[in-house]
Amino acid sequence: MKRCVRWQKVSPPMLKRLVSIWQNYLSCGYIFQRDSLAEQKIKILTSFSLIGAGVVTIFGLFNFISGMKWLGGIEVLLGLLGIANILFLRFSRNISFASGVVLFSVSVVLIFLFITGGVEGASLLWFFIFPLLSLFLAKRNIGILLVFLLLLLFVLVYFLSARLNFPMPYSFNLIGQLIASVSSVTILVVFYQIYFEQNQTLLESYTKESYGVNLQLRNEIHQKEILESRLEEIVKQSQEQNKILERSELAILNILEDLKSEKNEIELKKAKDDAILNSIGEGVVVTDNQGRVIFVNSQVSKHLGYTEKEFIGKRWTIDVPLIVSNNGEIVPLDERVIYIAINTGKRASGQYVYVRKDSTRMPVQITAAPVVMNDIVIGGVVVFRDITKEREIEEMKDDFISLASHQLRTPATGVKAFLSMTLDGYAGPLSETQVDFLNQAYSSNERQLAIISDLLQIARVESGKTSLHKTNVNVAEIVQNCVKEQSETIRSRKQSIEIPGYAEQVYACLDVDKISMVIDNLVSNASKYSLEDGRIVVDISDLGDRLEIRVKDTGVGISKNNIEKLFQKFVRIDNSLSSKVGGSGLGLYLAKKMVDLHHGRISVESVEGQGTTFTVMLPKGM
Amino acid sequence: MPKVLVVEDDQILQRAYSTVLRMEGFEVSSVSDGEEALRVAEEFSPDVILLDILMPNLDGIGFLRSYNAPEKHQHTKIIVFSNVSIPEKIQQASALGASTYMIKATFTPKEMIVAVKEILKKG
Repeated sequence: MKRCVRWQKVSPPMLKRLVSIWQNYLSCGYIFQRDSLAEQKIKILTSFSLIGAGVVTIFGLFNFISGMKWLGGIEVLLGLLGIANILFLRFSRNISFASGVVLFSVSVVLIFLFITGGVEGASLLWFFIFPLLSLFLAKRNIGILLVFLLLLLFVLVYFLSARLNFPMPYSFNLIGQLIASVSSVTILVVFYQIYFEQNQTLLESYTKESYGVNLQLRNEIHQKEILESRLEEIVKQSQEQNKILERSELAILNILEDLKSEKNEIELKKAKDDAILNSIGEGVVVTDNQGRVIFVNSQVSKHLGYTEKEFIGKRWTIDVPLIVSNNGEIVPLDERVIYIAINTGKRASGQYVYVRKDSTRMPVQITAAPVVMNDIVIGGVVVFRDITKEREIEEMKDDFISLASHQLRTPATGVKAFLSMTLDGYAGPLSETQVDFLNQAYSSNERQLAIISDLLQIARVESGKTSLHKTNVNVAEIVQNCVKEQSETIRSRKQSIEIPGYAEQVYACLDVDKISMVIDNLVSNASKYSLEDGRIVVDISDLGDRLEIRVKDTGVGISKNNIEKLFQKFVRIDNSLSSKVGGSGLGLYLAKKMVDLHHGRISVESVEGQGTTFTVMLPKGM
Repeated sequence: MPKVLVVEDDQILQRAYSTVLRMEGFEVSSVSDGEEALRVAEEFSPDVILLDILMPNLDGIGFLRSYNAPEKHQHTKIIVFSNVSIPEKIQQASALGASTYMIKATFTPKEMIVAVKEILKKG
């Protein structure tokens, strides 16, 4: 390839083409190598004719000019015929016809020369080229025949001319010599030709063979070159790929290094997380979305008495039982906080008791949260805290409140006793001012007693010690009694109260004391937070399996912000009347607790400045 | 003249109740704990016992159990007059023969007299 490139650079393309044409048309070596015998003959005949026709034409022109008009004219004509024959041969490739034309032209010239005489011998010498030509151009037998016929024609013409008194300028001896010479030349040519052909065949076969070998070699060289170039390409490609690989390797090494440092970081982070998870006091359990344990921190094992390995793969909701704190009932699967968290996607929490491996119990505060990835819950996290201490403290607190309340109640009751005795006249008659003052003291004492009572109630409710004593009662009657008890106070505030469903009979299974407490509280609030001329309506509705008690007032109302806080412990709402009205902030909290105990619902609607409606919904529980 | 035994460990309350009862014409005896009450009740044989629950030595419930009103003292009416408002205690007292259970803090002495008179009227 490279050699080729160099050649093109050095040689002008034109020169190369000329050389190629020369090789194609004129070089015998080239012809032998490449062309068939017929093709060789065509080329040789063409070369011969070009020279011959040119020479004959030039001779003809010279003869014509020097006065030999007949000879010159025929020569020019034959020369032109030769040129025409070359053209004919060039396009038709008909070698036989073209050979015939050449032989014919030469015969004509020879006959003419023979007949017209001219320089003796010189003209006859031309005869010797005929056997050469005819044997070369025609097939061997035909060539011999043509030579024989020409000689015959020659002899005939000679003898005829003698008889017809047109004697030729040749002696009889000369004719005999001519025939002998031409025959000898013919024989020699034939021998030579035979010898040549044999060699030729041999040569051709050698040539063919070597050509074949050459071709094969060329082919092989060509193939080799192709292969080499391919190989080069492949080498180049592989070098490039090598480079890419090297770069990739470097990149991979970099990535590996990054990964390693990231891994280290992750490990460090994990170690930190583990340390944090294990050092916090809470038990942390991570589960998949089927509740199977994936991870527990050390606190879990410590608290529940199982090893970490014992937990992994277990169903937290099934294999680790949870019981309800009060009655020891096992919490059903669908009420477990982790189950709720996983299935609803929302946090859930509660206080329960875990059963340890050794069957002892541990009160816990459990919070479960779903683990969400791409809006899909993939697991859950349970965090629980041992609340044994808190429970104990709570119990102590309950006991304290209970005891304290009693201790507070007794002296307050003493105050109440003597105040009321004095007011009731057991200590003799009182002046109006004395009665007024004592009344102030009395109502203050009443408030104190009420707060103590509320505190006692709360302590009981919160410790879960409050139980319901349900009886089948007419709710209208309870409402009626509550209203009756407060009617005097309401009237003294110049407010009105009415019960439209007064005569109705709505029976339900309730704890009378506790529901009375709720209604008392609501009615008392309605009155306390209403101005003069306020109107209170207590309505009872029978709703089939449940009932509703509505306490509606036209009082000062509650702002939206405050409505949310309304049922919280120790919350007192600020409004225009709250400073005048005494209260512990426990009433509505307790009322809600009581309604909750009945599995009911308490709600409130209010428009500031227009009034408030409390609605208590209770299941009849029949 | 009906006899009332006041069983109350708080001296001020004891004085208040017995004073009012006397002024209302009752014959009154006062004690400060359950044990004393058991002793006094035997000789005094009251018509009505005003019984506190939380007391030293023997509390109200213990007194009720020993006194055994339903079987041994059927003529004596017992009014529990206590600040203990635990339903279990109320039920217990009722089961042991108490006729009425009143929360002290919610009644004035005068209202207590009304209750005593009512229970005597019932017989």
